[in-house]
Amino acid sequence: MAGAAGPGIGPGAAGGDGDDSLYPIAVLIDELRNEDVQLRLNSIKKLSTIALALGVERTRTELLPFLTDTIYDEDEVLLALAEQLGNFTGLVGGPDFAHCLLPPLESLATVEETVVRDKAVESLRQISQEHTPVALEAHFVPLVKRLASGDWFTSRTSACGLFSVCYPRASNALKAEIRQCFRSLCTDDTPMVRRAAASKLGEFAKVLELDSVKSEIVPLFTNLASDEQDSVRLLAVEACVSIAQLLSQDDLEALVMPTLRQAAEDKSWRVRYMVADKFSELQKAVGPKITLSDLIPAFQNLLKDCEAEVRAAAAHKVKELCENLPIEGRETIIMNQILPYIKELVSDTNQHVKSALASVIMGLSTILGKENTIEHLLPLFLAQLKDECPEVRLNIISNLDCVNEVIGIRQLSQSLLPAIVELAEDAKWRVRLAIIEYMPLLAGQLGVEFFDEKLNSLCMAWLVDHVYAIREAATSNLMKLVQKFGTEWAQNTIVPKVLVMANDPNYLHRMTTLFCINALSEACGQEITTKQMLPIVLKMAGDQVANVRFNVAKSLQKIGPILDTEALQEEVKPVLQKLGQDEDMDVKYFAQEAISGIAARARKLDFPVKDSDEPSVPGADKNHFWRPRGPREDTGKFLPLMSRHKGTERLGWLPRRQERQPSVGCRCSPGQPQHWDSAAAHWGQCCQVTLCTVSRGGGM
Amino acid sequence: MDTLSDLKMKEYKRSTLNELVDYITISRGCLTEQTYPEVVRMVSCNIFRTLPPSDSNEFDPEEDEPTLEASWPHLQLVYEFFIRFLESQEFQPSIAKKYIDQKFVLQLLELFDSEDPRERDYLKTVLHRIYGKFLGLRAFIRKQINNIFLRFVYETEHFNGVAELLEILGSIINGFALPLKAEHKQFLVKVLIPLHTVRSLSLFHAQLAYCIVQFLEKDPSLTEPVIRGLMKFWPKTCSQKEVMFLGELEEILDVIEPSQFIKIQEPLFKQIAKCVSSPHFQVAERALYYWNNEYIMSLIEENSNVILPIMFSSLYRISKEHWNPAIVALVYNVLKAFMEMNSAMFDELTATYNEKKKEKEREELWKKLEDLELKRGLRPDGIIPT
Repeated sequence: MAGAAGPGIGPGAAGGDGDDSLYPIAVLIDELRNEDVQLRLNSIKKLSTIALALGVERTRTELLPFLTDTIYDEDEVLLALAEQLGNFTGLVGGPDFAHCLLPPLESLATVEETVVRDKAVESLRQISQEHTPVALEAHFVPLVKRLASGDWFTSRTSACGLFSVCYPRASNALKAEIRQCFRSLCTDDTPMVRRAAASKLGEFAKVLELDSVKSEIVPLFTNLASDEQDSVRLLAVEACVSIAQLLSQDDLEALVMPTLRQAAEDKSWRVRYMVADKFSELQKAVGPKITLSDLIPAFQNLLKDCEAEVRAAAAHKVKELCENLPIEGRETIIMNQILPYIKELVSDTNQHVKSALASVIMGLSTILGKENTIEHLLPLFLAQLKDECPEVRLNIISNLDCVNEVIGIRQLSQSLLPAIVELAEDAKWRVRLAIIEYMPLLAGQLGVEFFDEKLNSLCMAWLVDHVYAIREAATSNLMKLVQKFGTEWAQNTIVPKVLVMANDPNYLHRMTTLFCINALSEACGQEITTKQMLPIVLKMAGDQVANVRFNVAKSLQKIGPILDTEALQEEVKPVLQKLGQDEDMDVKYFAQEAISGIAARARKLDFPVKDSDEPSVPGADKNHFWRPRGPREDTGKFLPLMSRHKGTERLGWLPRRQERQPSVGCRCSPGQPQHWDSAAAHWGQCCQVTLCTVSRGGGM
Repeated sequence: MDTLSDLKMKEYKRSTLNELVDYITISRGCLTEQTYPEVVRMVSCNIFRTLPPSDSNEFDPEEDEPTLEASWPHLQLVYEFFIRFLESQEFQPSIAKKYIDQKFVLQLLELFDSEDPRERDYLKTVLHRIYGKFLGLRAFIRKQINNIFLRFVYETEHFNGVAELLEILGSIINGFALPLKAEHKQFLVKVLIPLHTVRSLSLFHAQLAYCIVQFLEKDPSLTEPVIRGLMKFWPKTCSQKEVMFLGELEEILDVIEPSQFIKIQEPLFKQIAKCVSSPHFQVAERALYYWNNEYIMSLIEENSNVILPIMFSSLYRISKEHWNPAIVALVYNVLKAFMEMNSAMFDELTATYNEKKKEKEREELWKKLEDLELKRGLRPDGIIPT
């Protein structure tokens, strides 16, 4: 669009009628031709404003022709344009004029970039509904036919997505033509077009008359399902689901099943994979009778397919398949025809297959009931709990609740414990992270005694993990445990251990104490917070590491709402004031944030209930205490970007200044916490923000 | 697949294949008409198969080791045999075309997705021989390669044999007759240029650039659409790709005709100006190296009244701001070159250099626009901007 001369539209054209308020619009239209993509994009995104300012008439006669003529641009701009035009009917004067939008969308539906084309088709589908029946026949259907006979494959692929929206409202004569068009696309020379047609076959079948489905769609389906390219054949499997839903059992057997049987044994694993992947949908579509006669044997084959990919896809469907079997005779079928194959899969050579199975196998216990579970499933669960691959064990543990309902978790606890302990100490931190997330669930099911005895020490050990993400998860895990087991339990088992860490030589562990206090204070309540936690926090204000000190300020702000006014005035305030004079500017910043945060709350309390000591309503003030964002002014400080490597972590005890190197060039706003032990969180929280601002810099 | 089962039979097969290879190489008069269908059938049975799924979930050809074909000891001999068959002096395409047909070629092309580079290398030779000997299949082969590329670009972004196919195309393009058919031009603009957008460009960029330059050497009038295409797909975030684009552009400029250069110099140098001021020093450096190219320098000199104003503000700004001293040094040399070329214009540009003004005007415009929107959103006639 850059440099193209727009006919009749420009600053003069729009602003010419003496209405000053239109001037920005005129310039905006001018921006549609700017060299900078970002600026054109901004302008396109405001297209509805432009149209609104121009009014419906001029939008139709000037803006749309301008857009149609100048469609040659970056795909990003075209995408935005295609999206905008889908909602433009009101702006061109309502349904009577909806067809004015077709020319630009038609051009957009022929461009190369798939994303743009898809969006144009989406908008066309939307607009088709707004057409009057007459306009649909006069404008929309001809457009579909033009696209369907386009030279380049792009327009023909786009056409495939438009048949199903115009067919139901077309006259009978046109309907025949539309079907003819679709037929020819199904046998198109280009595989891209055949793929598009195959993927829309099911959708089109749904809007056709049943006779046409049988006489026309089924042959197309059979053809596509035996295409020379497997990428086409596999799409026919998807269509099979929709077509099967439309046909009677007899027709199904005669017209569809031969093809489906063939697909389940296709020589390409991709097609077999698709059958496995769509198995539940297929099962529902063909009904119980054919499921028993055909699908179960096919499923058995998929479960022992030679490609692991296919076996894994089938394993994923085991539970759904069993669930959807007719209740009568279900148990026998599962026990005799499915379970033997599942047993094989438990010792499969491929870990993806095993882990797919582990993610659903527990669900079978509710279907099979207590006795079968204990006799047949339990040995499998236990075997999987001992699997060499952590993902398999995790998947079993994450679904424990299903088994718990049927046989109680105790049956498993003896095997469970070693599995949990091993996962808790896994070398991969993501595995450790995953098991932490299940701790509250496990704690709830195993009970407080078992937990104290066996798992508590694990939970505490995670607090001093060398990966920040684990320590962070461990903190929130403690909070959830306290919610489950109550404050008394917290006071006896958790709080003392957390507070001891305040004297740890490693500053990261000292900070963990603060993070734990942040998480626990609300769950523990005022008394524990004031009597046990606050003194420790206040003591840490004298820490020699600045990171600890500014986290003290943040913690004080966080626990402020829980404390009473007396503690705030006499203990917290002096400490914060002292921190406000700290030599480190970050400490100063957070101390001031905390002071003003607490002051704002005090003021808020003062207004409605003056002279009253009424405590604040818990939760009511929460909004005032959200974590501070970076201040607007930029001090240009460079922070090191640390990786998650152990090597850098070992330097953790060093005071911050010695570690800081201005070389990386990743600048963060000074208000953000300095996560030097967690590069990922750091990127997520500060740097992304910075990046966004930079990329938006060109525009508004 | 169990590689250790049936070891004895596998050994038989291997030695038989070896014998066949020797026989077809040495013997005379062995290619009777009856052998053709048998040869093609044997080759088809052995090499045509659905390629297995990749071992690693997200196979990254740049990082991961390819999975090697387990049956390679046999496959290699089959390919070897087939190539000897095709290259044999007695080989008669007129007989073979009954058996080596479109379906055969299609299956052959699908094998180019093999992860095993050894197999792709043999396939390259096989396809090249077939393209050379079967005139009737040429258009079909080109069309199918087209489809593979389009699918690669717009649908899957995954195909292992792109570099090999491009290599074959390089030699095919070389042999195109002039004037170029519309089909070939369309292939250049609608297939080869969009191939630049793919993430794994580095795996086949050399072959792709070779094809493009071949086209331009055949028909210089294609320069403008090619360069405009590259501008359209210029990488926005990937610096490595930007460096590749700059390399390709230099190859193109090496063969450009001055009359073509004038047509595209404006958009071209606007892009180069952006590259020169890239904060990534490799990009900036690669762009600045153009000024070491004598032919490009001569083109710039002839058109300095157009190019200098485009480049000036970027160069001027970087000479003051760029973090990398090597870049600053290079920029000084470029500025010096411009000063020597066209000192009058250089002085004028230095005097009027002003960057901030435009930015400010734009910001005000957007502010006004927001006000307007607010006002209109509240209008009583009920139309609310969507």
